[in-house]
Amino acid sequence: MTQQPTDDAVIGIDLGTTNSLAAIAGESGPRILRSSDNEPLIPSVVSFLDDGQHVVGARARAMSIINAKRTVHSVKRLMGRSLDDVTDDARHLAYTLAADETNNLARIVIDDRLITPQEISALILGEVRQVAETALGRAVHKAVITVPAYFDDAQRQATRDAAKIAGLTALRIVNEPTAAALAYGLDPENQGNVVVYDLGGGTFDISVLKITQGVFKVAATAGDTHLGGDDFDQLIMERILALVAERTGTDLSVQPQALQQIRLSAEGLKMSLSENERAELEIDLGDEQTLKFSITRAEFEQAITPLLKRTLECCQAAMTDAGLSNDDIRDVVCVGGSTRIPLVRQLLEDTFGRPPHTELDPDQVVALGAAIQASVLSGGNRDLLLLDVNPLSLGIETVGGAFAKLVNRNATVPAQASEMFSTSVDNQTSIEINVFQGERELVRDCRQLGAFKLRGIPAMPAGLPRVEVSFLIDADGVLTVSAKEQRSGIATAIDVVPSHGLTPGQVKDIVRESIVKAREDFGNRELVELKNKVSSLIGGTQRVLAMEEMPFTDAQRADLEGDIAQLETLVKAEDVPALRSAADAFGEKTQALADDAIGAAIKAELNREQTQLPS
Amino acid sequence: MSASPTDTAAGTCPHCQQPAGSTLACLPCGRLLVEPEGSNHFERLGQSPTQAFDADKAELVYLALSRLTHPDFHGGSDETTQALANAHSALLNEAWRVLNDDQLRAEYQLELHDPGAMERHKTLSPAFLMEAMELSEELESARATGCAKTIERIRSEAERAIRERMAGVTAACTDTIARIAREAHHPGAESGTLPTAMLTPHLWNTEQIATLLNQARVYRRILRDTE
Repeated sequence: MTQQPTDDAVIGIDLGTTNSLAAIAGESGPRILRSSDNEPLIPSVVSFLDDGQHVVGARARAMSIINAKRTVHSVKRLMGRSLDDVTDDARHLAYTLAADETNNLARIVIDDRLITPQEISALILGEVRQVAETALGRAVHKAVITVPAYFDDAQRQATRDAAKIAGLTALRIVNEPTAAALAYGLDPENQGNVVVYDLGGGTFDISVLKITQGVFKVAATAGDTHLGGDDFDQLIMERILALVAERTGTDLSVQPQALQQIRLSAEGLKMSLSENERAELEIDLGDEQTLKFSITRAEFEQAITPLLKRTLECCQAAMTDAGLSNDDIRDVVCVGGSTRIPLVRQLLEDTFGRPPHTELDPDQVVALGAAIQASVLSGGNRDLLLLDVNPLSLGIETVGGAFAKLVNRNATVPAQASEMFSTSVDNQTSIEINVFQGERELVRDCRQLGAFKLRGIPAMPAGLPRVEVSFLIDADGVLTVSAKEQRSGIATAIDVVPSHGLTPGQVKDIVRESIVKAREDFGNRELVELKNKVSSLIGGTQRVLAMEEMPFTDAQRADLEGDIAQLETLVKAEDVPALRSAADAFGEKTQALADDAIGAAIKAELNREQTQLPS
Repeated sequence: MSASPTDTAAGTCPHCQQPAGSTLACLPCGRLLVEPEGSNHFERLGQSPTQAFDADKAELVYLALSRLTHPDFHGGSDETTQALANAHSALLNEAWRVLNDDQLRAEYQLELHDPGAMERHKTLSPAFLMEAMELSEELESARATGCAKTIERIRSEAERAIRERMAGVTAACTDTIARIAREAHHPGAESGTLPTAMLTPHLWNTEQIATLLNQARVYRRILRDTE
């Protein structure tokens, strides 16, 4: 039962709508893992290029204007959703969606291919992992991945599948606001209630936590899966589009490239308004014509106020669910880039009577918390325990399409419920059960999670079998079902057909056939990278050695040629550590050589030019 | 569920031979336990079903047991232990959900003493139903017109009605204890320190208790609709 801390690095990943990032927790606390150019945020964007290749992150984001139709952003909004669910989103996307013919799931159309959101997310996760491995200098196989608290079972499952496709084990799916509360540390021994207000790019989440003796227990959570900074950008965008239409009669909203450009500009204006009272944009209309767009902070605040009011209503609903009043709250924590907006902070202070915590970067706090949870799960930290909740009530369809709740919203997970079923016809050997998630009275207003078929019920007169079906929601908020016939003691088989997700078989197929290339082992990849580095070092050195202008002594030549021979032996032996140190040493030695060579080359070039000049 | 709950919340831990304090895990030594058949929520949380429920004390036990059973702390264990941790953690959360709610705890306690009592006494008097329906309809129209003042009034009415029922339940139980004490001439009667064995189900006025709890359920639904 006791567990040893594992050597394997377990990281926390914030897989965001707009940006993703990774963090790791060590003895000195959690830290963000940065890319080689010191950038913490990896844009959650994938761009498919002409040659069939793809790029991820900042490079993909840079393609979003010139390659708009094949650049996928905001894919998180599509995870575990059907095409019907996302029609509103689709209007704002420059790329095309289509429905999967078997299950109506939203898919992304790239040329003649249909790609699942899970695969796109897997590519993003792969990029995050690569950044993490490079930063850590070791392999990463396991991660804690965060999702909005309001994500339903299908969306969580889709996130797990994305990890699987990326070759990562998702040790735990953690709710973003809960992770944020962990990151703040908030004196775990000090009893109190905490509100986490998480307004990100695409989603809004509110969680109320009770902290007692190191146990972070979520008391209630609520949110809106379609409310975030993107909507604020949209409001600014609409104003820009209206201005352009008014002045020029051009409807830019039908031009994907222009639309994408304006989206980026609108985001820039929004960010600027957090610092300045006014922001301006010069729109290039071609033919040396420009149009000036200007917006004040007051105008922006007025535009977003209805949306922010909606977040505060959610907040009150969560407080009611938690059985708390605003005075009971000890701390308020801000998460998500949109909480940089001064009006958001002001509204929170007005509501709870105290300024919210903003010490940690709102874009990084979730990843930091995920890293802390990763250290708990890998056995390195037993001071903290997170008790999270089931975000939406879970139940089954009963007579007349009524929804019978089995596990309530905000029930602490793991949670369980069981229900007795019987047969209605003599010798009936199977029963079909439809499982739904939602808060409404009728199943048609809820979301179907899947259909479960109980098979192998012993043949008996109608009504005699007593099949106990047990529902278990695990700590990830993901449902598993098991069943047992009580009279015979026979465990009945259950086939789960997810309504909004991939079947395990489909995930396997994707892993096998995926556009996500089978990923080499980290050691292998390092070897490949080292080989490339060594080969370019050797090539460069040999070119310099061949230059007539370089005044090498015979001893210098012999020394360099000896080094090259040694490197070639190590490349053949594929000895990664020895090759790494030899390559580093050779690189340093030849750096000086390269500087000299450049100097010599410039000198030679200048001489040549001079001789060509007419005297 | 034929056996009456006993005062010993849980047995001796087979690993450390100390009183385990719960049927889910041993509080002194921290090991997960295999539950005896028919264990109840009181035993899971180390509470006595016959004494006043101390929510603060029970919460500390709940948190301590959470640390022992939660799957987060069993990631490195074998599959059987992980499954046990998952199941125990879910049971623990369910036990806490039920016992930490006055109504659910009372219903659960009644069911332990007299299985099926809530269902048997589900039919409420027409007078009561009429009264509840009127309140419910008034709430509906108040919600339609958005009359916050009326909603607030109905809310406090429902809260008062629930308080009255719960007080009635307590009184019915106390009556039973007093009656048993009178019959048995037990000296500890007035202080409520009766041995559990005397609280046999047939002496409870289960009809009265179940009716009060069923009525409280109706008011809880109305209360929920005021939010």
